Amino acid sequence: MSLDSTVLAGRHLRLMSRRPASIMGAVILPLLFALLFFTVFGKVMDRAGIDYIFYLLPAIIIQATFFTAMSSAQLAAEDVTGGTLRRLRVMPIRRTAPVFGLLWAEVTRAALSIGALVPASVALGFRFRGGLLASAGFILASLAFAAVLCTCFIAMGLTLRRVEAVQGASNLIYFPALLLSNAFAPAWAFPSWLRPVVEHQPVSRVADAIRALADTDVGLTRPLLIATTWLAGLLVVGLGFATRAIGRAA
Amino acid sequence: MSSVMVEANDLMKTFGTVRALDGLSLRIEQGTIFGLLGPNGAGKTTAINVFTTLERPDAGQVRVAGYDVTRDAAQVRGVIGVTGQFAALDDNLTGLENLVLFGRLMKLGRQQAKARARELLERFDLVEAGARRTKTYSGGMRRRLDLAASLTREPTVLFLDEPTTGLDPHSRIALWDMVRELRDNGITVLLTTQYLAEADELADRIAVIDHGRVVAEGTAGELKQRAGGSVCHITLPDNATRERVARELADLGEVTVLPDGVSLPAAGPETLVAVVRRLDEATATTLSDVDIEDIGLRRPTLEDVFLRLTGQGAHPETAEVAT
Amino acid sequence: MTIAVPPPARASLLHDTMVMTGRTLLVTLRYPTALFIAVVFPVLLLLLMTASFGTIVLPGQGYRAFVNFGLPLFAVMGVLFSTLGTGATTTIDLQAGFDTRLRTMPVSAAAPLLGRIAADSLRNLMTLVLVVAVGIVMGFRFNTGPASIIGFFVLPLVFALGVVSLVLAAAVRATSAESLTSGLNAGFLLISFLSTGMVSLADLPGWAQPIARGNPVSLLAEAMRVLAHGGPLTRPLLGTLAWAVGLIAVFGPLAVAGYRKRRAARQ
Repeated sequence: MSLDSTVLAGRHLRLMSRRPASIMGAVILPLLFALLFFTVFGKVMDRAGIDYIFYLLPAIIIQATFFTAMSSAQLAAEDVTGGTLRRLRVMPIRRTAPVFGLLWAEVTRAALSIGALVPASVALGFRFRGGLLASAGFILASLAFAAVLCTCFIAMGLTLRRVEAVQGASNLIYFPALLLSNAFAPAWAFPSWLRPVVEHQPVSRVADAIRALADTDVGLTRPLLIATTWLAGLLVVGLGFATRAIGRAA
Repeated sequence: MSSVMVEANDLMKTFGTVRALDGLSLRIEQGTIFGLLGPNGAGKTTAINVFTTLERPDAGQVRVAGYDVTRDAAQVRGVIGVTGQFAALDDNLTGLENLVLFGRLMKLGRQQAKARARELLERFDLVEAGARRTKTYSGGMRRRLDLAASLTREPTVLFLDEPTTGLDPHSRIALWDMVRELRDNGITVLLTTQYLAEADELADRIAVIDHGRVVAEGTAGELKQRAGGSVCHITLPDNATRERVARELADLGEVTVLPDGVSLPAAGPETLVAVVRRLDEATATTLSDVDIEDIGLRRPTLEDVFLRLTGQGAHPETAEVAT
Repeated sequence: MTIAVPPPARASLLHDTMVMTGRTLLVTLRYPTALFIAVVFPVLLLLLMTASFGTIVLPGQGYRAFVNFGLPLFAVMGVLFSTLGTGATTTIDLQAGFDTRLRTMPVSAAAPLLGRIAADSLRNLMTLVLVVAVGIVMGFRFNTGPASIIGFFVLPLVFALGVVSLVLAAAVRATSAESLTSGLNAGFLLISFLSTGMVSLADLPGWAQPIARGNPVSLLAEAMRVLAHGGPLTRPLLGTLAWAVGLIAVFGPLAVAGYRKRRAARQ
């Protein structure tokens, strides 16, 4: 991370701390969702044989990451249309610094929401079942997902440019990607014709890996390998789009 | 027939302890542009708000196009057009849709409102922009559309509250031309401004208001006359030296300290000669550090009138730069 | 140039309200976020919640059963969250001085607010019809008579009048559209979830049951289920109407008073 990116990340974090909606999206809204999903579906899940708070935490972390990523897409679009990007281009800083600055700030925000969500879930009954190393892996994997998802969304923001279009696209990605996954409900609950999609799509694969890291006595290699492959692939796509968009914004 | 389109008598309006209007009276003839000139906080916007039925006066009467603004507010609203300081448009609608909306609210038929909107877009050079949302408009385009919006049904009296604040010089001159054209079509225009140049250039008659009352009224020429004859003007770029120069010249006449120098009433060329002699001596001794840029005889400007009447050190043209 | 003074245009409550309604609808349909919340959001909820939670909430009963059970809530959520857009545009208009300008025109004083409320109702009706149409494809059925079916559509519109009163009362006092929506958003989420809209009362934890029982969203969802499928109507119907009347009685006057004050002079 270059010095320029760090300075620009500071700018974004300062801007975020002044927007009440950004704290809402990163901390309060995910906490609210965790509480509401646990309250509403705790009993029916229990009946289905699922310890729901254990099942739910990865889902809520993934959801919070989506909120963060969606706002990063919007900030990226605002930077392009508002001309901040162009202004930074004429200054002696690296071309990629603005994008890395935003990414760095968004991952910091994601870390903040994970830092709020894990203790809250523990209060509701969540326990890390694996060892210390696996638990550290849980946090690390969540942050890796945040970095990749934000890269993709920033690339989308830079490419689409128009704030309204970015908002629309964000919602159209977010709802199916999250709700047609095994994040909130297990794949077997879905209609049989949907199940293959639900099982194999990247959000489910990442949720599998994060869940395995919190659990004990489960195979780690397979889920981690699949999730890593997905994340690497998405990262390449996101970086590709971002690079193209930055070139165009010149 | 020469008719009075706006007549205000002894208007009073107090907000808490602030007296916004303190006995304001004025008469505006049909088909003229009337400039209401005053510093910030003089009561210009309150006056407009009372004339346009937004605010009720505590005391006094106003008749607009023959209707009393408090008793016949509904009729007044039917014959006036208002353009405020900040263009109040619907940003999610296009320019054309905004004009049609305001036309429909002015009770034009659907087709009539559309035809009128197209006509106004053409007249205000907004035909191409008419299909775009006003969100995307520049400041000058917004003002033009805002003005057009107050003309969807040709008003009898048009109120313009600081119509050119924040506009670039080119857009300002374009807007002035449009306002003149409206006047030439028989519309009575009341505009407020804090720009002396705007009042001088545009208004047929000017009222200078300060602390909620009219302190002087007349044509620009009459007001300049009232400020007295010629003045001897000394331009001093360094403002720190102005007071000292003023003291040095105090016995030659009543010296006024201006934003760009000092001035004093001149009886004729002999005053100029006396001033030059005095300064010639002084710069050799006590005023040796003073940099004099120019000395000359000048007809008074509206600025001299304004400063004299409002007793303000505030420089209206400086305010312009700041906005 | 003639000096002929044209007869002054006059305010007309009906005409002005219709023009303002048309304007608000036009803006809603053009604003992607508003359209998303009114149209896509409730349909997505219906599709996705049915697919993921349907057989868990109602084990052994199939997805169809959950569509019939959950559809009222998802339609109501579309209505609730759409109201936020009405509030946000009201705040933005007031800040821009749009309503102040209308006051200098021959426009009925009540028309701008009434127009927003009427447009809100029309958009809500659109949401309800759309959700039901998608629901019917998924297996939603009415087993009652025409009067009940009409009631199924009208009751949420009546309740929405209470909600829009609350939202407008907040909107005319809000300093920014963003703070208005983020505050109300959380409240609407709470009452949507802590209700019997998605699970039955017995499936909620003990502490949440009293909240869900009196929650207007529960009452409305239950009343709509009864209006679609039959059952005892009195309690949920009267409960919903009581909430609607109460909200209108409390927040209606607050909205009107705040609106008068706010548009009297800018800022």
